[in-house]
Amino acid sequence: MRSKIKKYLPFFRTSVMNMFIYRGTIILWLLLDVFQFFMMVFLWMSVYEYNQSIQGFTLHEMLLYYLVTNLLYVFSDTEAMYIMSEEIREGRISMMLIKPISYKARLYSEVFGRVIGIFSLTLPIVTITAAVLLWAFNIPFAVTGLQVLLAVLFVPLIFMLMFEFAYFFGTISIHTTNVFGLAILMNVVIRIVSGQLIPLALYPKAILTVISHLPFKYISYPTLVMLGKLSTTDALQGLLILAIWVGVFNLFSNLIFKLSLKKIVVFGG
Amino acid sequence: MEIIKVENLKKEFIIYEKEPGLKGVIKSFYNAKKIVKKAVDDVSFTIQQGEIVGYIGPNGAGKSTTIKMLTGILTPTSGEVRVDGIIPYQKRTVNAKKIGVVFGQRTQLWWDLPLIESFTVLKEIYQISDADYKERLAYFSALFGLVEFIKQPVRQLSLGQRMKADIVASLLHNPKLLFLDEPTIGLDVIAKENIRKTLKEIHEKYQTTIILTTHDLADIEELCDRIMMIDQGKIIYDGNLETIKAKFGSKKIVCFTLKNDLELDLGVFETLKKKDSDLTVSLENKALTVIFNKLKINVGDIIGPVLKQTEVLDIDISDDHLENIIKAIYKNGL
Repeated sequence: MRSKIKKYLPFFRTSVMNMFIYRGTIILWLLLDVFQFFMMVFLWMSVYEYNQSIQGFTLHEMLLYYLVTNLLYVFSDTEAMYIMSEEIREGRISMMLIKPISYKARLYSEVFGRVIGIFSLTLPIVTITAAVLLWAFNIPFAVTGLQVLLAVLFVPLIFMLMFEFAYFFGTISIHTTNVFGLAILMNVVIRIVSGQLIPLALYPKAILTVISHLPFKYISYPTLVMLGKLSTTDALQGLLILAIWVGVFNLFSNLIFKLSLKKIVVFGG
Repeated sequence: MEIIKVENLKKEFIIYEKEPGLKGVIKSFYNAKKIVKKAVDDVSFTIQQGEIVGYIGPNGAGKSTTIKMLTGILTPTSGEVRVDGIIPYQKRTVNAKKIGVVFGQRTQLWWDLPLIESFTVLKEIYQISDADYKERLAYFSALFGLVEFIKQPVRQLSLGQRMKADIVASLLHNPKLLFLDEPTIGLDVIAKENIRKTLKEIHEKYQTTIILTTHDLADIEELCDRIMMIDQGKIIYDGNLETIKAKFGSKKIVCFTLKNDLELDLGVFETLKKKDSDLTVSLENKALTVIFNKLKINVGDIIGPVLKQTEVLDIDISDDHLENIIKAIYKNGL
């Protein structure tokens, strides 16, 4: 087991390192996010001028929701799909298949490294933003240890779910060569159905019914738990169902990959 | 001992042909024309431990496809492959531990990292012990002069340096079997020479079985005892270099360096052409080159008349280049 982890550790490490090599780019898009965040603050402020609360969210809660969800959204990474599609299209996948390592585990380690890299770059910025926000709006923010624990338990499962999902779509590119359009569409849809843009509670009932059957709603659960919008029982139940989703998705995407690999075509060199 | 056994191996690709133009694209969208391309067509061979085999053939003949099946990247359409007793595409990672692969047109190194980092990554992947890693890295460093560029990111390396680094990367775990797919592509003469020399040394030291595809026949002449020639998915020759030369290399080349070429009468060669219709004569810048079939004409019949006519400074007589022999086989078949 230990030697197994050791085998994949370099991929994790190099991936984290890459994030710091290209830190200029990353800091640039983080600043963009901060800018976008402040625009949202002003947007919500004007919306709340006429309402005390919307679907049970006060302005303060809404701002906190938006901040925390976006920090944790770093873990809903679908980069695996782009990496795979590129490796398949350019034929670089062959360089991975000649190594005595599992393709999936390697990709897992790489994406995990990437996420940790981005998270460690994001965290200070979010902390500063949060401090400014709490001070400017004088927001009281209190969480219990149990809430934090439950929220933290969700994070790895969300990461795994999104990885499996991206891995499945990446596999599809063995057949279609290009999934770029599909990938962009998927990312937008997930932003909407996960509650990353606005809390799901704000959607009309009909749409909400559809969304509640998808696993992506759990992406906003940790935030809801910390804001006290979700009971402990609901959170625990959510954890269990999410774990089942991950398990099923894992089996499914492995099967599809195994079948697809037989079809792979690598032209030239 | 037999390390590779391939029997009736086939690989077919399905290609969708798209017609040109907008109309064609729309038409192909609804009714794409399916073409089955036989990249490897019923190939059988065995390779013994310790052999160096040159696997040659024109572009698109099926060389790389064969190698990709031997390395477990591609699954054959039918037929059997065994590498050291294992079916590569079924036990890809087990097979991967025993082989080293260099695809000349790609790199297995991490583009953004310093070269030495790539090597440490490989050390972990192949679980090479510290002692072995140190010893081998020192050995290869000395052979290839890696010290100069080992701390540079891979993307900054020259093609020659990158290729050396790639070869080292494929050998760090001391594989039984080494696949080299065009390892000298795009390299200058000195870099090529260096790579060939090193491969020879490595083969002597570790007795590694090497399978080499290349378009540079000097690689073959320097390194290989055996060549396999593939064309349109079928193996058309499998044997040693001497046989192919003896069988197909019936041409001789005579080069004269003349003092001046003014009074030379090429008419004598016209009569010789009656004996050998493939005879070619070229006169360029005081250098006269005659290529003829040695089974049909004696060297003396060529040299004699020239010496009589004009003053000759130098004569060079050689067998046909391997390149010409192979060219003829590609063109006309066996």
